[in-house]
Amino acid sequence: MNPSPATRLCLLIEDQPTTRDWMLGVLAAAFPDLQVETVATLKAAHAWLDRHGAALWLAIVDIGLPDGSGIDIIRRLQRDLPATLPVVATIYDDDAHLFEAIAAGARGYILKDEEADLLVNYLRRIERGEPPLSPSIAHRMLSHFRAPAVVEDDAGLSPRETEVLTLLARGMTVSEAAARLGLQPQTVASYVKVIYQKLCVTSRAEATREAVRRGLA
Amino acid sequence: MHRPAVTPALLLALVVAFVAATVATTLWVAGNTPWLGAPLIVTERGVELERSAFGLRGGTAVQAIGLPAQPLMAIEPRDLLAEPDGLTRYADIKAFLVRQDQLFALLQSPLLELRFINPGDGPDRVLLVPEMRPVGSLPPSFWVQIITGVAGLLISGWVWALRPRQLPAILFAISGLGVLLTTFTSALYAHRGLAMPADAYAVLLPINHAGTLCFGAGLIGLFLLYPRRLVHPAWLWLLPAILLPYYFTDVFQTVFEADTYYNLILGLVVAALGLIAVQWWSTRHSPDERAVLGWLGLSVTLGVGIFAFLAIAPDLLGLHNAMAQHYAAGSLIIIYAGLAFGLRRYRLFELGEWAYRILFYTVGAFLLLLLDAALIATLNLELAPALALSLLLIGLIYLPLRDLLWTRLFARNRIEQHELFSAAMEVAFAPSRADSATRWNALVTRLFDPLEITEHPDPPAHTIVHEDGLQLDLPRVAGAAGLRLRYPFGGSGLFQPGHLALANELVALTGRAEEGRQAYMRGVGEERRRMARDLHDDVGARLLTGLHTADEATRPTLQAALSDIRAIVSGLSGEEASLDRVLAETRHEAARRLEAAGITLDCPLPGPEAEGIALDYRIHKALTSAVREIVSNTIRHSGASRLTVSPSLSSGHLRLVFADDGTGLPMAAQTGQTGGYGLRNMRHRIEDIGGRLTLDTAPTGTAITLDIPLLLAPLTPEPGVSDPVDALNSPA
Repeated sequence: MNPSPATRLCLLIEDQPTTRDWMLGVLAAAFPDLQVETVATLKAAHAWLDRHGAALWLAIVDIGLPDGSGIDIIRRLQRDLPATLPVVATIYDDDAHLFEAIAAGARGYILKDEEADLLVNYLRRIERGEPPLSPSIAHRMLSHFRAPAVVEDDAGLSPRETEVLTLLARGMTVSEAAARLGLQPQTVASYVKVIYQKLCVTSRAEATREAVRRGLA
Repeated sequence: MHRPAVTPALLLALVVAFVAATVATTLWVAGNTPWLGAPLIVTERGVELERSAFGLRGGTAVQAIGLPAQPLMAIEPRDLLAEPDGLTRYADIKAFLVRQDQLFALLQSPLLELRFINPGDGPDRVLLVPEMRPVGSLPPSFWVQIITGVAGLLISGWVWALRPRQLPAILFAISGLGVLLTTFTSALYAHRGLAMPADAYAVLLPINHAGTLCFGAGLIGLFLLYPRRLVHPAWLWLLPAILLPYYFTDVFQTVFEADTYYNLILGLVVAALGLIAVQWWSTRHSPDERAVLGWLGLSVTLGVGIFAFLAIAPDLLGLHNAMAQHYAAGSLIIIYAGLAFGLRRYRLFELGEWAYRILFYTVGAFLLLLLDAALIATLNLELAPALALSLLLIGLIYLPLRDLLWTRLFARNRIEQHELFSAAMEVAFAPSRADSATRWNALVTRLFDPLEITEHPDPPAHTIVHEDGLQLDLPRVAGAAGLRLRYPFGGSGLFQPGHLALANELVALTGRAEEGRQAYMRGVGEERRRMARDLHDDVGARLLTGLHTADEATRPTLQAALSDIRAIVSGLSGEEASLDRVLAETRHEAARRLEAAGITLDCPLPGPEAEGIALDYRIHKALTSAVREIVSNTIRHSGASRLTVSPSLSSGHLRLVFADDGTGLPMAAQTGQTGGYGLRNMRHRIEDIGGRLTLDTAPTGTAITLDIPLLLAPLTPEPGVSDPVDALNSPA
């Protein structure tokens, strides 16, 4: 279960000072008693994780860091620290970037130019285990799970999950989809969480397969 | 072992020629047998004139025939027996043949006397000169038999020409040949003018019986193997092993009696029908085989059943019903006509629509040649002026017309070397992969005109010719699947080494064009990614910094700039904005924001009619920011608890009506003084793209109507070329 609020630790990886300060404000508004550490580079982030990683609850990761892609951190968290919530913070909402991050294990994403109060809202939802899912990401997920390799792997979605994903891809919010399906919003949110996990699993399998095919593994 | 390949068209031409030759021979024989000049029939009263002749009414009883002033020979009903094999004993048949010989001898004398019983007011005897029977005087039943034979062999021979090595098709063709042999011989002796010599019977009867046995055995063999193989094909040798010995005893009229023949035929038919039942049972788990059997089995059951009822039953039951028997053969046509009609629908013998084409072409070519022959035959060489006129007509009218027809039907498309290159480029640079495949298909169809073109399940790496030129396999090319072409040039030709070389050259050219295109695409993609990254990492980061330090008044400007960059970047990465995706994205954003503000959104999901409408980047942007602004206003100023959006899509126009149940918008929001661009600004942006925004605000709520043109043809393909120009249509 989540650690008690008093001990919650967050790592903010962000290289732009103004954005970092602004983000600190957002985090403080969302989780008043959160303890936030900040680093500006990939290298520093890895070093910090080596030392304090075990206690980490939340990580806000910028993708475009001066010394590499924040997705490396997401992968590491997913692999080594599965209890941590990795969240991507980016200015780019294009599905290519976000999808890669989600497939690597991100449990949510926030756009850095959104209104601060809206972001606070998102972060609270992520905390409750309701990962956000925009229609274009949902769309991309649908096509990912329809790919023959995934279907063959038997790691595909259940009919209910596909139904949820289809509604989200058509522009519904989680609560609207829940109302349409006659389910509780939490139930739909849990489906979304499962979809995230399956995506992560299948995309890792796919990456392995691809590596084998290319003779890299 | 190497078997020379023959094209289906050649085989079919052979079949057509054989049918034509047998028809011609049969008609010649029928027209060269003597007769009395009027047909006789058998009724319960005896032998009568069928219709009025020699100054006598029809129905006048005929008593005897002979040379004038000599003892006459009585005409018995048995002399008019249509099918001598209807007699149950060989002794009777021999007696019948003796009388036929006598009658035939009479028919060959120059003058005959015919005597009648109770002629009424006419003479009781007439003198007549026997003449050759004109073909035109033959009754409909004769033609029914001829047509049945022609249809039987033509249709089954057609199937065989297309599948010459498949046992079921061979067996089916054997049955068709049997029908032709049976009906043609029967047509001759059943419609004889009173008598034929015993020598003629000695030829025709064995042919007739051989035909009937072929028909029965062919059907039995067919249903032993098709649609489901019930026995190993080697077992089929049992059929000739049993039937041939019997056949010889029948020809030499020994061992068995004459009626054994009919019992045997009945046995064969019952066996064929029984096999259909067995097939029905054994195909119970295979709907496609069942469908094939349903059609073929029904045709055969109906055809054979009606035939047996009309023809065999009366003989077995001792009834004499000569007319029924003549027409009975016609019912066999059901089998072959049924096959021809069901062939495409049920893919009988795995044949498709193209099978009809080859039939029409071959028969068409044959008719054209026949026309030529008729023309030459009718040229009157005696009369010089008429000959000159005929030649003139032929030169001016017939030959050009014939040439036109020939070109229409049989011409091959040729392609010049310089056109090959443009054709390859068109395939490689088609706007989409699907278009590439379509163009590639069209190109090879144009070049080789194959009757059958299918996707190759396991395409080879190089072009290969199979089955001695009947089949050409093409590798995958530029997004198109590997193809298997069969029966080139409308079935009238083979793939020659020259064609293989041409195909190779085309594959190589297209492959190189495709490589060029891919390299170009990689370059374009690389460049775009670099630009997108620069925009992202440099401009985006600066704007973001600005955004997070800006005051309330400048924030919206910076936010708008960031969202512009996003749109540009997504445009650069080649992501296509289709209307349904844009609407889904917009709806989702609005729903999330309204949900956070506690306002209910009532907005239907974008329907399928929005799919496939590609949105221009400017319109995409204007639509997204207009909706964003409207939602912001609703959240900030309306005090509403519900926002209802009604979209409607008409040709080239999207209309969105936003209605809330709030207290109306304050003036400040309308003029844009409270942050955001304000609606006035929004209105300008919408008008810039040719749309309209109308506002109707009242203390009971606000209604905003957004009219947006979708002006846009499908997205211009990236580095493609326009539709193929008709380079290939130039005369070769």
